[in-house]
Amino acid sequence: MNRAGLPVLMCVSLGCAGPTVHRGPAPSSDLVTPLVGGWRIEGPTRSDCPAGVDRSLPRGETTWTDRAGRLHIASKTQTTPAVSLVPASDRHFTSQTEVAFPGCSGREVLTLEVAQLDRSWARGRYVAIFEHDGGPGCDRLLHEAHMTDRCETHMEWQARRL
Amino acid sequence: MNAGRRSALLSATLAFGGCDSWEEDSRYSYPVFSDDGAGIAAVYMTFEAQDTTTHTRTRNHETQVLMKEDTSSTVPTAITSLMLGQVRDLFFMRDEEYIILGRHNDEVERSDGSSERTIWYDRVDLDGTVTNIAGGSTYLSMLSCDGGSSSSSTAGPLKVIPSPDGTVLALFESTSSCSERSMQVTFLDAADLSVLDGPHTVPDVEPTWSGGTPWWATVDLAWTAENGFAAGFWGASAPVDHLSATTIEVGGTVTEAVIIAMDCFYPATTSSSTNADGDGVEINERTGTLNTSATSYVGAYGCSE
Repeated sequence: MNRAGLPVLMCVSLGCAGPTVHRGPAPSSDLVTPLVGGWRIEGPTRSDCPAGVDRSLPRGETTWTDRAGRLHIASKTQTTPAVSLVPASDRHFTSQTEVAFPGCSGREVLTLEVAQLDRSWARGRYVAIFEHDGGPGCDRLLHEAHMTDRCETHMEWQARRL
Repeated sequence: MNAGRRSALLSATLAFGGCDSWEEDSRYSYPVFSDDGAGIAAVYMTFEAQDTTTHTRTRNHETQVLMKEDTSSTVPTAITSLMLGQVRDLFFMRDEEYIILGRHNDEVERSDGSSERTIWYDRVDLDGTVTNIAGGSTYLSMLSCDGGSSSSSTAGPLKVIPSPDGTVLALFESTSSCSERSMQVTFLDAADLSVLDGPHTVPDVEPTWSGGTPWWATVDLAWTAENGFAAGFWGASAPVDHLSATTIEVGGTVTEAVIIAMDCFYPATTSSSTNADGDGVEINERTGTLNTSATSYVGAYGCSE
C-alpha cells in the first residue's frame, strides 16, 4: 500500500507547484468548553481509505482543548495526528480543507457528532471523507495510492473522561 | 469554494516541507510527576515528519528518558540514550528509585487487515540503567475480523503499571483473535523483577456483535487504593459513571463484577501528569521547559467518591 497522501502525490506530479488550500468554517462559538479535558477514546472504525489518506480520530488517552474556538483533539502519545474542528451545531463539529492544483482538486471533510455527553462518558460518531475530482492531475493519486475518487473513515466512538 | 470559509494560500515550501520528503524532527513530551510529587520525568523523542497539508505524519521514533528531582521549570536531564519507539507509558516511582518506560514502534498492517507493532516495557534506574521487563516482540494492536474493512483496538496488549507505593509491578498481557480473548495479570517485585504472584487469569465479558464481527470490551486498568489491581470493562451493564471490574489482590483473590467508579481508573497509579494536590504538569515540546499549574485536565490518583 502506498502511504503517501494526496497533497504529496499531487506535489510530486506537478513538480512541487504550490497548492491552494482552503480551510473552513471559522470558529464561531464556545460549544467546545463542555468537552475540554482528558478523554480515553475507543471504538470500532471502518475505513476504505489508503493509510496515507486515512484520518482516524486519535485513540487511547487524548486531550481535548479549546484553541480559539476550535476543538483540538490530540493523542497523549501523539501516535495519531491531531484533529481540529469547529462547532457546527451544539452536537456537531466539523473541519473542511480543500486543496486545489492545476488539473486536480481534493477535499477533506471531518465531522464529529457528540450523541451523548455525561459527566464521565461521551459517545458519538466520527466521519472523515476524502475525495478528489478525478482530474488529470490526480493520476498519481489514482495509480499509486490505490484510491478511488472518494474514501471514508467511520468511527463509532466512545470516550471515558480521564 | 464556499466564500465564507477562511482560506489561505500556502506556498509549496510551507505546505509540503520539501515535497514528498520526510524531515528529521524532535520534541519533548509526556511529563509526569513522581509518585511523591517531588520530581518530574518526561521524554525527548526524535522522529521523521511529513507535512501532508491536512495533517503531519510521523514515523521512526526514538525515545530518551529525562528526569529531575524537583519541580522547577528547568529542562529535565537525560538519563538514557535514545531507544527505539515512541513513549506509550511513563511512571516515575521516586520512592523506589526507578522509572517505568513503555514504548512502541510504528504500526504495521497485516495481510488480514489487522495491525501489529513491537512493544517494550523497561525499568530505568535513576542512574540510567535500563532493564527490560517485558516485550521486545510483536503484539496485535488493532484487530480486524472482516479483512480490514473495520477494526478496533486490542486490550493492552502489554502494559506494566507500578503499585501506588512502587514496590510491585502489575504486568498485564492479553491476546485477541476473532474467536477468543485471553488476559492475565502477573505481579512482579519491582526491585528484582521476580514473580511475586500469578499469573492470574482475568475473566472476560461477552463481546458485542455487529455484522458478524465481535467487538471485545475496552479494558481499563488501575491499581485500587486497597493495593489491588482492577480491570474494568466498558459497557458491561454498570451504573452510570461506573465500570464492572475484576479485582485481583497481590497474593490474594480474584473477584469478578465489582462496581467501581470510572474516575478510579485514571490515573492508574500515583505517578501521572497530575499530582496528589491536583496540579498538572506540561512541557514545552520545543524547549523542554516545564510548567506546573493548579489546573489539570485530569484528576489526581484515587476515587472521588
